[in-house]
Amino acid sequence: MFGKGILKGLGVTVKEAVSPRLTEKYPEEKPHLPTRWRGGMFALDQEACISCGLCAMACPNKVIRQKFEKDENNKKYCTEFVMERQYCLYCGLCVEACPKSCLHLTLEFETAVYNSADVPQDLLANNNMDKQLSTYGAKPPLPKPVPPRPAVSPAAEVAAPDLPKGGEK
Amino acid sequence: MNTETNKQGRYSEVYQLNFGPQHPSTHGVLHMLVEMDGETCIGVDTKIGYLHRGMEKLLESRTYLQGLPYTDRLDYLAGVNNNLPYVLAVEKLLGVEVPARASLLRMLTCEIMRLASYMVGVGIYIMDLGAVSGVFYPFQEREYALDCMSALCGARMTQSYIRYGGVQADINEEFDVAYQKLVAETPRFIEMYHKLVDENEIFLRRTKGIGVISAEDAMDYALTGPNLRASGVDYDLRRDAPYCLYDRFKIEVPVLTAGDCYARYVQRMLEVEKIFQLIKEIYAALKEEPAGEIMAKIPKVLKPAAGEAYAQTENPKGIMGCLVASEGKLNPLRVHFRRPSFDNIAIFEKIMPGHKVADLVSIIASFDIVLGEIDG
Repeated sequence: MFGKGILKGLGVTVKEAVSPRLTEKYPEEKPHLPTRWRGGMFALDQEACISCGLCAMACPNKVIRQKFEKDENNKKYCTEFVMERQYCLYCGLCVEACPKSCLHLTLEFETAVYNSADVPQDLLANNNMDKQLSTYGAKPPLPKPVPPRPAVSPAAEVAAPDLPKGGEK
Repeated sequence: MNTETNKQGRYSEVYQLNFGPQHPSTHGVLHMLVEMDGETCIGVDTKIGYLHRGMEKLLESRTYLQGLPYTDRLDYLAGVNNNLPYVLAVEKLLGVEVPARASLLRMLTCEIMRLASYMVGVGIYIMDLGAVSGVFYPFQEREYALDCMSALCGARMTQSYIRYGGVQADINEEFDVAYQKLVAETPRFIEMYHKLVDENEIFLRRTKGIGVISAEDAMDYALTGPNLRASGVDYDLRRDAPYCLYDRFKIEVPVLTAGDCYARYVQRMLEVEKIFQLIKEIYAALKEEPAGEIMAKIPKVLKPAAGEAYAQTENPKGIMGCLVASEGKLNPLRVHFRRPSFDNIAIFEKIMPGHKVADLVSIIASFDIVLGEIDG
């Protein structure tokens, strides 16, 4: 019979139409973001930052604008740290490059602004550390008791990172 | 100019029809200059380049690691799969040995994204033929695959998860939860979709016998991927030239012989079942693999030795190859991609003449092309 296949297909659509909805009702219901989510804003732990500039060097698109100066002790410090988010790919390479794990992504996703001048994020003015942070690029925590190593042997090097491999625990 | 009178005694002239670039059924911005005689196509000139971003030059102007996120944007429906050929080629230059666990993670993510890409391919195909509800269910299914990826590396589509010498992160509990959801939902989806589409008379009439490609033509025009296998050529790189650890697994490759638009749909649906099977096998192997390193020891600053390396992988759209030439500097001297969609559309000029306009839509949709990859 012509149309049998169409009727069969319609049966499927009717069945699916009355099945539970999968869509999230967004403004009332906030989406569930994975802990490693990347996107949104950046956060900077200013105390931990050593002003090495590796994040800016890792960036593929020159998103990070930094300026450094030296204080009286000849120590480098940051006078400008702006994430020009309009160019950002959210590849997370800057977060991975940070040797002190002080640059983070946050789990904010409502980042729309009215003015294009508000898109770049000045991390020195607002370091965003009070926000919920993404665990993307988190390195496995260092072993708690750090014994003074008598000699660095290759075997000890291998044994040291005996940690959960996900890294976030 | 053709001025013969037709049956109604009217003159018919050959005219040119601009098909695309702004047309939803061209899967982006494919432009075809179609010569028409009445309603019949007599010649096709495919014009590309509307989405050209200079991808190869972008990669050449950046360091090796900085270039990696850009490869995701080639075939943006399967980001991880595009990382792999570039990384494999650079690893050949570096001469690093990838840990087994990292190789398994690479394969697992590639297969999950292959599943996701097929979902889009099939769904958009059905939608282009007029069945709009046919696109919703594959997209729901794809969402489970993308949830796995975002739990693993934080991004849904442009993951850039693979790194030189390994992968970016190991699996966590969140991934396991998302993976169980994917495993639970896929069989139900496959059964439901077969019910929805397979016997639909409109679909059958619009696809059976349309755009037939013989095995010889398919090989002559260098078709790859499911489009090649639907024409009766049994070739899959995962089985015939294994990379990563695909040789550990038994890869079953379905092959059809009809070579028409319907065969290309059936081919994809058959492959979805095999991919799903393979995902489960790889995941089981990954769980058995002892927890260990996911990154090989590679230098922080990558300066591969001078020379050339070529690597190719089986991507959802076909065989993706990558040539990397190095001078021993921080950035590559030359990067070139063999993009499967780009090579697949060359056959349009051969198979399209003789078909009606509506059939052209069917042919384009059945090829599952991605313009990000074609234009590069």
